[in-house]
Amino acid sequence: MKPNKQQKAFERQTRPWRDRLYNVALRRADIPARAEDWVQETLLRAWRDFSCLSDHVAIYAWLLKILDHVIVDDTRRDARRQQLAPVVSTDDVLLLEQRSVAPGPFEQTLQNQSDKHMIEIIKSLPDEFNSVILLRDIEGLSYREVAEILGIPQGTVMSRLSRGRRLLSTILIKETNKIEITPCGVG
Amino acid sequence: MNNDKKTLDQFEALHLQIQDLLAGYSDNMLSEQERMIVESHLAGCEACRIDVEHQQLLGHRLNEMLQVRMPETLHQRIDQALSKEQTPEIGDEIAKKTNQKANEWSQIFNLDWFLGMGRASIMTLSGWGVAMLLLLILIVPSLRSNNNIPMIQEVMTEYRYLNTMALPVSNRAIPLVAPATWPGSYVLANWKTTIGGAPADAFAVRSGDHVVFQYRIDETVFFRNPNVRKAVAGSGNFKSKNKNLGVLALPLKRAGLLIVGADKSLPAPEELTLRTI
Repeated sequence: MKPNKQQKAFERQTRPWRDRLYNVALRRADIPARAEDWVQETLLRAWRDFSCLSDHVAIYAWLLKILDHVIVDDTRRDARRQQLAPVVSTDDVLLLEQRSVAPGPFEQTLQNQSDKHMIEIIKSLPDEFNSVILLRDIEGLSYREVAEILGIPQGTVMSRLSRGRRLLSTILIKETNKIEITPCGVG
Repeated sequence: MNNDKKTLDQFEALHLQIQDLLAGYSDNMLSEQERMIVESHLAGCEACRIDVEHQQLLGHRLNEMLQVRMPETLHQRIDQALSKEQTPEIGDEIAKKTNQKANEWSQIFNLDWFLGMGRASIMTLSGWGVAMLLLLILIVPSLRSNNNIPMIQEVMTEYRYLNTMALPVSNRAIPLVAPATWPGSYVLANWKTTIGGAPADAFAVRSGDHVVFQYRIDETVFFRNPNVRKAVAGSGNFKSKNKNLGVLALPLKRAGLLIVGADKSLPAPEELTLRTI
């Protein structure tokens, strides 16, 4: 059976975003199989709602919003979502240790991390930080788009991003310090 | 003295509030007024200055992350799922069949007696009816729909899809010996596929006048669904049926086996010889 006009429009508008959608899912899932299920479910839900979509909606942001709902539905019982997000102050001793006068120690710390390891650390963050960092810093979306996708005010995006990046910095510095004080590192 | 403490408290309160704006400052997302407030704070606060630099460096580093391509098998899986969703005939056919069944039932039961009953009797009976239905659902797991288990859906979809075209060319990397054999069965072809997001070996096997497919799938995918776990623990296998298509699921050693084909052509579990290694 030949695809009709609407199927063609759906294919044309969503297919270019599949890889990026998959990357976002992969960065939030514990195993690749779960990310694959999320992407499939996202596109199926997108198809069901496609006829109601108005022309001015940015397709990628719309797909990410559906993906976020799919993930929330799937991980509703995940205990990690219930945990309180820790708040790290700029006065944290660890943060002050690595003053980053480029090219300084913190920049070096960042350059030494593989993408895979960075993703692992981001995944370990509480969801409210993890999602804004993924959407803003990795996907490069605007604050307005992130706010729209997650259903939160832009001011909340900003505060979560500030806190999330700070927490991420603390974890990275902590890890680097740990490596430096091991006997092998000293020798 | 009191004034000093008050000033210190005010600085501390502002210091905490400003920390939530530092991402916005790093990304140039603040209004002119907010930017001026943050900058005057930064002039006297080294901790926040360091944080701004960390925020900027982190933002740049994360922005450089490489994207991976979505696996081709997932593209195919999504295309198949979408095509199924987008084909109204399938849904119409199911609806038509459901309506037919409903009509048959309504002809069997003449509902006139129901209209003659008193309201209290109807409420009591309907309460008991709901309770009995819930009880049945709870104690008879086989009454729940098993067709929405992803691995079952996937093998049925692939079977329906490949059944209308030539079988895939055999993959020489996989020995041409299917995981399960039964009298009169022989392997026609084999290929690599993906079930439940994990790699799987597929075999087309002739069984009498029919062709059935066998899938050796990942163990974690196989046991992902609680209905499958319960059925395998109880009777050693799990069965599912959708229209004329059936799936028989059996555990292998560190893997799972799904046999899919026309319901009447599926072998009985007791006549199977399983290669467990």
